[in-house]
Amino acid sequence: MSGSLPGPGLSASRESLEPRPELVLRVRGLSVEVATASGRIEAVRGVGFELRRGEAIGLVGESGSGKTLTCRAVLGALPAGCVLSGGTIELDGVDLAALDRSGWTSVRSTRVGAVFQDPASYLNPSLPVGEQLAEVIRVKGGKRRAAARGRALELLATMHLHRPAHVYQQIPAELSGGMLQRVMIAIAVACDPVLLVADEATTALDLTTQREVIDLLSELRERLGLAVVFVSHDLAAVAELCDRVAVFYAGEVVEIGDTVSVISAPSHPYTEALLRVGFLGSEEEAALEVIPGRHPRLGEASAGCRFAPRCAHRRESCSRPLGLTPAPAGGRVRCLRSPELALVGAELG
Amino acid sequence: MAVLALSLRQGRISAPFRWLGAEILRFVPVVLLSTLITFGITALAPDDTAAQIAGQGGTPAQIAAINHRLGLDRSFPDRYASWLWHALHGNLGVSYFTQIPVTASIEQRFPVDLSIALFALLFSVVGGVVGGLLAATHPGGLLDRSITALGSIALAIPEFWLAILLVIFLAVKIRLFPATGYVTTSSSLVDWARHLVLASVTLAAPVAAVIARQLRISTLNELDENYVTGVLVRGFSGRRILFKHVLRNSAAPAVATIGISMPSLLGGAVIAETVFALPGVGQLAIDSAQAHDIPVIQGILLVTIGVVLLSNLTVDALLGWLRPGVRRS
Amino acid sequence: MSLLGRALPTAYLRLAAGVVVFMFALAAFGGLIAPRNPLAQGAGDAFAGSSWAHPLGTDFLGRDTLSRLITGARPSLLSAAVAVAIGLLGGAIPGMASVFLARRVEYVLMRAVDALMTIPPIIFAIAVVAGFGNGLDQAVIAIGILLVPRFFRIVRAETLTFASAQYVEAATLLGASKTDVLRRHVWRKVLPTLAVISASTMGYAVLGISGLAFLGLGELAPAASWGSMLSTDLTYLYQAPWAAIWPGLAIFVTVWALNALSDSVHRGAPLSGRAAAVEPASPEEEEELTERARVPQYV
Repeated sequence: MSGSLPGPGLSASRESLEPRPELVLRVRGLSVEVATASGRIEAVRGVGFELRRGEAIGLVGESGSGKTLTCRAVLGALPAGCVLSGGTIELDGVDLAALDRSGWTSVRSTRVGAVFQDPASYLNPSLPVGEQLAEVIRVKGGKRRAAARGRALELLATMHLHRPAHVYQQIPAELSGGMLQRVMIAIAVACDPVLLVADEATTALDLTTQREVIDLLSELRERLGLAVVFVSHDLAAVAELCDRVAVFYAGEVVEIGDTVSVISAPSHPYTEALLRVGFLGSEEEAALEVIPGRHPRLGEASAGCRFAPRCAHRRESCSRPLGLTPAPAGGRVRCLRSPELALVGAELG
Repeated sequence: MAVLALSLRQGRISAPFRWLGAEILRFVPVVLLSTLITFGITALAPDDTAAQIAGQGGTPAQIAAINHRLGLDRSFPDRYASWLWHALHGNLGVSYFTQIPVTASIEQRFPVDLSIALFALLFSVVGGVVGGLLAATHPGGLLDRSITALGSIALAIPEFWLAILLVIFLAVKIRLFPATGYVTTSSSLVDWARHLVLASVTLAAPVAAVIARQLRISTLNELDENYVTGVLVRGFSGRRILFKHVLRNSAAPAVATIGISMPSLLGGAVIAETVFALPGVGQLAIDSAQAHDIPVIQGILLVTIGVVLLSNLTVDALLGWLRPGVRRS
Repeated sequence: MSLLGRALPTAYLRLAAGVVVFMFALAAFGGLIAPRNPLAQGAGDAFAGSSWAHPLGTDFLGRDTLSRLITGARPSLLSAAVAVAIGLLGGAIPGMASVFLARRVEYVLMRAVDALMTIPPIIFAIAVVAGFGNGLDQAVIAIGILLVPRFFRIVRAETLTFASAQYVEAATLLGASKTDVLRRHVWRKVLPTLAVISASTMGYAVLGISGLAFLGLGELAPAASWGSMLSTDLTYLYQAPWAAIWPGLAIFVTVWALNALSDSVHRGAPLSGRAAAVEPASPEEEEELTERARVPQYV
């Protein structure tokens, strides 16, 4: 399934056999509803994307855009009050949307792993981190106690943690954010899953540590053929790590395509605005511009194009329901006027 | 042993000893103060024992002589120090009236109370943990509300009344347990246990209620924490998540509660003795109290305080193991 | 909604409040409404069952159980109330003061309270009786002293929480003296908690006093409190098993009602401060609170 040490020849032979790596994750028509005081409201609508082995896709958008709920749905860890109301999530042929509790137990850690923001709060505060790692290896990987400990130390070293034996016995409060994130990544990939879901994994870290973690994730992609879903509101991080990117707005995907194209030549006005705000191309363009208006809250979204109220290019026709249409350079976009618009992208730094 | 071994392996051998040292340092003043209070109450009280012993026609000279013999004319610090010193060597003095060494009387009777208290501890922990966890994992449901209601009842019910009710229903009407009497472990372990069950259950009820309540609240709080999600996505079973991860963090307040309950468990044993006619320290204490037999009272107090302090030490150790974060900081 | 309606939203709570009021009314006026003289012995009438003359029967001396039950309210409740008052005064004031006094004093106070908490309550009461004689006063004082740690810890925890609040720091900076700050700001905030704690402590006190009475401590016959009634009921358990139900029931219902009322205040409130009001703050929480309150240094 996953290769711990794919030799240099492997990808070469893959290339000669198939044009592209196999499909690992396919999300189609994903919808999530949230229970509120006034009833159930759709927070995510009709989200779809694909991911292949060794590929990384970034889910970007503002808070409340639905990217986090989407990734939680893929993990089967939706918060209380949220339910999957439609769609399929195929991971290696298994439909995660249809899994029950025991189904999820068999898939977690072995097929999909997760990393979250603020690693300190996602690890048990009372247990040494090494033991938490060894626990996963033991319970999900079926190793004996001593062997699991050894493997855990190996993994910690692989994550470029100095003095793995020392780190092993520390509790979360005694380690820095960067180190804890590496531990979380180690836990996530300990049993060789095919997919890693990273929910704002670098957001709470300082810039230097962010870079280190992103580098680590890239390395894991290459070495293990790990597919990564990388949720973030930081476009710069996404640009560094991801081959493809999906832009979320008000619960929908408004643009999806490969990173270079989307960033240098966006097809959706919102993407263009995001690039102005969140992606500093050069020192001179460091002025922060704010997009007028605000992201719609739950239940506020209008029919038709949900970005229209804030869009400089809107027309009457934009209030009619619309779907995803092909964009230049192979992506897709949810915008009626996209072909006629000359949108400005940013330079990849 | 496991903790020691783990510490050795991880090169932290000094830490447990350092912690123990700090604990002892915290305990010494408490020990001193509680023994001081113990000795103080009884020694500072108006004491006409000498007059009583001397009897009706006692002359002041005779009374003074008795006072001297009993050591009652020395200064307070002097008496306290010598009493404490002797106590640490196992000599708790001699009863004013029967001349029986206090240590012997207590030795004979204390195991009864200790047995009751330990059984009660066991029942209350089991009942409290089961109740608290069940309530926390099914919040708001019928089970939760029933457990909460049962807890309220247990906290309001007078122990002696509960004891009497248990006797009426489980010992007299249905002869499930013996109503009174005590059997030592040497004759039959089962019989010994049977005689203690009703008394222990009586004492355990309120403690179980408090434990359940604490555990419920803190477990509900823990279940809201992020790391529960973190552990969930690793694919562990619900049981592992609850016991190995959540409980480790939510148990601390409940464990602390157990520590606080130890004194009332021991004290409650006194009441249980009365209802179930068990030959424990309680009756001795009451009789001695009415006769102003001070050394006996002091001895009983000292022994019970000792047991409580020991249990506090144990509880603190347990808390330190559960919450290394607090211990290490 | 009226103030009462807001304070007692459910039928359950209204029932509890009603019970408390009823019991206190009994304590106040019991002697007037008891159908028969509780001390009147009726020769030959002992252990009578239920009848119109004696709805709850009679005891071993032929005295009317119902009347004894009614007049038993006053000794049971009054003595408990006095014990609570002792505990409150002895615990709340040092508890609040301990936050502002010198570290050494604070340390001694806390260790003293710790020491008190290690002594099993009943045995402590027995010791007091041993030293000072067997009487109601002694029992009440003993229980009162035993309640001090509870008040001390809770009031101290509340005061710590408020002492580190911004406005207290601001007030001190503006030149208010420590006692001024204490009086005007902290006291006002601590008072509601005190009221609530007094209610649930009252429950403990009733249980404690009755327990002592049951053991024969702290009372002199023939005046009956519920606890001593149970004691005689135990003696004659085989002759009249059902008699034992009534006094115990009275105690149980009173304590339950008091607890229900004081619990209701805790339910809606945030956990950190109020949970400490149900049980004293754990030692670690206390340490944390102490450290936090140290930041504005009230020297």
